[in-house]
Amino acid sequence: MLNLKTGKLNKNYKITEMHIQNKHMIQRLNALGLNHGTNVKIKQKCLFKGPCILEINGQNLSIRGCDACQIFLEEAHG
Amino acid sequence: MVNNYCILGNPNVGKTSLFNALTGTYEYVGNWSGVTVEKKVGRLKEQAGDLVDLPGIYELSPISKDETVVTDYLLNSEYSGMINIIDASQLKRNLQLTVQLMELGAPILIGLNMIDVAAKRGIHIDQDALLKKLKLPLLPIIARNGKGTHKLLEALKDQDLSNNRPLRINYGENVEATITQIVTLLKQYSDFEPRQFRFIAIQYLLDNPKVIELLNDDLISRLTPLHKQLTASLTTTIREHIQTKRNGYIEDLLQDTVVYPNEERQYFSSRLDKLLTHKILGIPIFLGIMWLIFQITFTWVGTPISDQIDEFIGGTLTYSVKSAMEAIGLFPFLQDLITDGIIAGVGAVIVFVPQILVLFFFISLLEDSGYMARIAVLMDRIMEVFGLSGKSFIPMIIGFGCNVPSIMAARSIESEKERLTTIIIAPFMSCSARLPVYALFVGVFFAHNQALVVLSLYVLGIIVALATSVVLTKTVLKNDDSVFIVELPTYRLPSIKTLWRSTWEKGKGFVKKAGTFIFGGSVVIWLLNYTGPSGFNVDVNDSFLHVIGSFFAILVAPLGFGTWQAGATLIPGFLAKEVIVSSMAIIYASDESGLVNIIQNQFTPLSAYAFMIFILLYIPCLSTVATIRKETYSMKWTLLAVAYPLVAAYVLSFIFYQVGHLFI
Repeated sequence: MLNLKTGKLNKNYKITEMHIQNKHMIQRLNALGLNHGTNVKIKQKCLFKGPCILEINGQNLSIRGCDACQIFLEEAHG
Repeated sequence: MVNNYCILGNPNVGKTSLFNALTGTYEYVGNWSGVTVEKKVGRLKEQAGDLVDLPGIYELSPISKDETVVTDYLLNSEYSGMINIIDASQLKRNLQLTVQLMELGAPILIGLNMIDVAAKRGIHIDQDALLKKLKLPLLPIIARNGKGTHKLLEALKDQDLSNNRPLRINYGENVEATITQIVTLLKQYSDFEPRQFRFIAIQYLLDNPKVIELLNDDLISRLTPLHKQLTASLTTTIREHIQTKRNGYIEDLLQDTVVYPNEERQYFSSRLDKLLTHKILGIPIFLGIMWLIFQITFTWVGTPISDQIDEFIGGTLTYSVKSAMEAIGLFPFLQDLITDGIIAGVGAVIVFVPQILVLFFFISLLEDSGYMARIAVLMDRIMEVFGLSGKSFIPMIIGFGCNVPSIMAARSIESEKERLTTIIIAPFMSCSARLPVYALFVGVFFAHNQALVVLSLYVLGIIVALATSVVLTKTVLKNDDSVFIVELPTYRLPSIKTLWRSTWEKGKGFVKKAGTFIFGGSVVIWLLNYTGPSGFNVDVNDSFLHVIGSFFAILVAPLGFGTWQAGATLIPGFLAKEVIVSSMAIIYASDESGLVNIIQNQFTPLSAYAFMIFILLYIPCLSTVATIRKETYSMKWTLLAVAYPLVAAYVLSFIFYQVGHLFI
């Protein structure tokens, strides 16, 4: 399934589901604007399953690869 | 009553810049009872009252320790009003916090910061319309250059911020019904102000740990069923549900008041990030930058200036003071104390101020430019191997300057176990106070490979730190709750004023130490050197210092530096690592053959390196130990932080010296 880990760089996506178990992590993601339906772009993926850099609402965030693959996407149009 | 205000806002929206602009200077650092964590307090210009600068938060439910400070302050302190500073280019996210503050209902003034950045990005904000919708005083400011801050100060002074009616967002039938039930219980069983009931109810439903702390067990046992019932009746989590409603409210606010640009543009920051966080080049570039910083600090700028100061203190200053004292016929005892004790001791440390300021300057530059956050991202994968996250790497870099702020910087790490591990390993980072020792020894024994030998010690510190982390995170501090989200701020060129200010804030402590600890230490060492069991002005070999030093010399003899002089420096080194060099300067100043000569006689390159390993690793200095105690709230961890490095230092120096001895 398409997620933040497998998605392509610099393409517009929309978040469909977030399966992160860690309560604090999801709390912080929400506070930073990552919710269902948020538009997101993957800017960079680090080597060796390292963190990736995302762009949401004009801000850049970095999360770990293992969290990224728990956030599922669909292609966004426009 | 004096008016006091606090500044609140997301991390990195310019709170401290605003604080500085509104106050002029830091007045004092305050400690509140209960929470032994420092918050910056300043006096507002034009006697408008006091101002508290709080750490940045995204919302009122705290995760990391610095966020706890804020929530705690809001709930337990008295204040006349809040200044909520929001980043105009990130309104949607910033308003999340504003909404929660509005629900709290305390008087609030909004500072709309970085309007220039927003305008540059093509974001158009209709401030009047937003003000009308928010029904709160809203003032545009550019905190960085102080624009608009005067008006904000006027607003604080002129209009008494009135209590607002707490904001009411309709959270939907189920949630509203539960809130009503909770409010009824709060009325009966708590002593909160009625105004706060709804706020407390919502925060309780959001599992805010600080709010739960304020509720008694009886109340909690009555509230828990309501919480469970609501959870069962919703299709999503309560948090998600509330979040969605709040987002709806914020979108309403921004509708017709903010226009975002249609076209996507490549900004300078993005282009720079393409290179600096490049998946292959990122780490080599980072290492290159670090190399450059060390090179400038120790070779190109810092050391040459230090050498000149050394020449001045050892030559001109000492001679002129000496002749002045002789001219006025001061007691010989005092003359010796001043030249051989104070000038030699304090001077030996003052010499390193340029190097330390240069290093602090670059650490400030890393912080203020926005690159520090990128370092956390780049290093995360590597740090994960050692059981930590990239966020732990920031305190480690700051530790090269001084271990005290580095331990405090660990506060922003969300996971408690990860924070503890970082605190325990941070003192292994070779702080600037240890540098004088290396500088002295490499100059004598490794003149041709100075930078390399010093670098090897820094690397050794990092290796010991990481190895310790592996052991801790695999055993007692096993971490399963790691939160890793790093916000990458837009790069900006910090102003010289800001840079100087933060360099000085860091370096100030060092200079202060020269006037207190190091001054006092030098006098004591000199006295111990000057006096002995048989009286005053004794031969060095009959002095108290000789007696004390000889005792420690026996203990450290297997490490290769079993002379009384070396032994005598270890105890004052606990006070402050700089005093090691001060003590040496005083002890050796009493010998005619001079410093270099004695060191050459007493040490070999092998034992000199063993000595440096010992100095690098052994007990953190007194200020660091005190900070560890304060930040861990635990005597047990503090004891470990003292004992473990001592053992590590002894064992590693022992192995190095004994094994090395077999070959050399």
